[in-house]
Amino acid sequence: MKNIIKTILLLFVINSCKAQTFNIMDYQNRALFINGAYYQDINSVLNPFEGTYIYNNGNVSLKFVLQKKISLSSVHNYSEDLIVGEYQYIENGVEIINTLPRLNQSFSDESNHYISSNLVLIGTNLCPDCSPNELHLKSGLVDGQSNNTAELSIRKVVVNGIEAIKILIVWRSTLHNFLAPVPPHPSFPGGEYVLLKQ
Amino acid sequence: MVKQNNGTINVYNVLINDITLLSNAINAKWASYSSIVDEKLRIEAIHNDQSIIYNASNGDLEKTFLQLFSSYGIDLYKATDNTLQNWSKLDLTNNPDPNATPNNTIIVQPTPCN
Repeated sequence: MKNIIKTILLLFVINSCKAQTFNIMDYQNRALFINGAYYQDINSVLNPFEGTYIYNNGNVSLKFVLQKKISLSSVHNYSEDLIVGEYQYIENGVEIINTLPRLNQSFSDESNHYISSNLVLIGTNLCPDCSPNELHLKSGLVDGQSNNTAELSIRKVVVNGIEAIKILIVWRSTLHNFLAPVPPHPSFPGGEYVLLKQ
Repeated sequence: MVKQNNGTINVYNVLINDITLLSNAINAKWASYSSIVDEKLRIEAIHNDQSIIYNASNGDLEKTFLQLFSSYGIDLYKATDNTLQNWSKLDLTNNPDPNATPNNTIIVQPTPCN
C-alpha cells in the first residue's frame, strides 16, 4: 500500500514539473508569457517557411536562409519554436552584407538571430493581399551593419511551379540629432522581393 | 492617424500627463529585457511581444494600445468626427455583459470630452 501511495505521489510530482505546452497559434495564452511554458508549433505551421531562398535580378542578389529551432526565451524563461534566419545581400558583384555565418553560432535564446519569429498570422490580418486562409509570418529584421531594424513579412508563394517566398521589408524610421552626422542608411533597400527556394 | 484591418481610419491623440512616470515606465520596460544585450535585438524582442498582445486582442488596436501603455502616464483620445473638433477619452473597463467571452472581459470605454 505504501508503495502505491509513493508511486502516485511521484507521478503527481513528475506531472507538476512537466512544462505547460501551448500551441504557438494560441495567442491568448502566448500573451500571458507563462514562465516555464513551452509554446510549441503543434500544427507545424512554421515548417513551410524553412529553406534557402534567393532573389536575383542580375545586379542584385538577396539570399535568405530560414531554419526552425527550439529557443529558450532569456526574457520570459519559456521555450518556444521559432523560425530563425540570416541573410546575404550582393550588389554588382560586391557583397554588401552577409550575416549567414551567424547561423553557425549557438544561441540558447535563438531570438538573437537577425531574423526570428513565430508570429504566424491568418488571412488578411496585416496582409491585405493574402487569401482568407493563408498563413504568413510577421517578423523583425536587424541590420547587421547599421543601426537599423525593419518590419519583415514573409508569404509562401509559387512562381512558375517553384516554391518561393514573397517578402516585404519596411525599414523603421530613426531619430537623430540634426546637428549630428546622419547615421548610416540600411545596408540594402527595403521593398518587396520574391526569393525562389533552392 | 491609424488604419484598422477593416479599412477604417481613425485619428488619435496621445496626451502625456506624467512625463516622469512615462520616462520611468519606458526605462523599466527596457531594463526588463536586459538579458538581450544587443540594443537592436532588444527592440525587436519588445516589438515581438507587443505583436503577440496585439494578436491576442484579435487586432483591436485601441485595446492593445491601452493594455500596453495605460500605465505609462499617458491618456489616449480619439477624434469622433472628421472635423477633429470632437474627441473621446478612451479607457479600459470591465465588460458589463455577463455573457462576454473570455477574450472580451475587458473592453474600451469612450468618454466624450465635449
